[in-house]
Amino acid sequence: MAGQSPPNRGRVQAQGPKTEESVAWPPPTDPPTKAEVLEMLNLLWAKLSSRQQDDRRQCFVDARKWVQERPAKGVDALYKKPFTNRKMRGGVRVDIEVLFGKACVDDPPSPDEPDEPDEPDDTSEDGQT
Amino acid sequence: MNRLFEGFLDDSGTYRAAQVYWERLFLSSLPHIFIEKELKIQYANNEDNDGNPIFSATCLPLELAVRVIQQPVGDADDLDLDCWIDSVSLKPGVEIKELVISCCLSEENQPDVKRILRNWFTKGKVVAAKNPDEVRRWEGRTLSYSPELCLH
Repeated sequence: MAGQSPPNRGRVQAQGPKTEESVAWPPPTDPPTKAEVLEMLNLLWAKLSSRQQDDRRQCFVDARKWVQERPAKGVDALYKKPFTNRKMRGGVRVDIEVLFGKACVDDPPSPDEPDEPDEPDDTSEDGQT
Repeated sequence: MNRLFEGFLDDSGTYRAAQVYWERLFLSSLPHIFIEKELKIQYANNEDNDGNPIFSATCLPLELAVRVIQQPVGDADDLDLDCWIDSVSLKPGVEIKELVISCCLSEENQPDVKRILRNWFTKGKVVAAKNPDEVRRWEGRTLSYSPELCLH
């Protein structure tokens, strides 16, 4: 694969006047999962000053909700989603950008996760379902 | 405030009408007529139909793009119009400037939106305000109704 663009590329970023911080996903073979993108949002949050965090608190809430609500197959590039602070001028926001490939796919089931419980009996003691 | 396409998130017909509105506005903002293959009009791969974005387009000869976020009616102190400059990749290694407009469209801010778009595609920039009071309002945290624009 040397010399080729990574198959999945993108970033989360905090933008606005005097603010430009980002966390890019590394070049993974597999698309980043929802948990991985959420962790990148955590890393991005940690890079911001308290003022920058205050200005984008709701943006991060909205971005996290959006990631968690993506379909299992994730989202395909090119996809740019800004989460804006509508009370401030100049594009104060958090962006999620899927530039190549895809991102926000479902996380694989944990190996420690218990098996699905058996189907309950279809009748109870009084015969009602 | 006389909102336009107010129920666009609840009604697919209104949503589509808003997209057609933005497409016409984009075409009328261009300095002259381009042939179809010189323009790339799309809806930004957004299957959510949440207005973010509702429309995007690129004028390839001008190497300028626009993306529109149509906001639903929000809190009383929410801005009704904001914009910023971003970039978009046409292909790996080739990026062009993209104007992003975020607005809750109304009859009142419609002239500003038209002016922003026209300036973008004729001058390649969003023109700064001349009046210092307007600049202060634009840069500050307070609301300014139908503001002049001052982007850096």
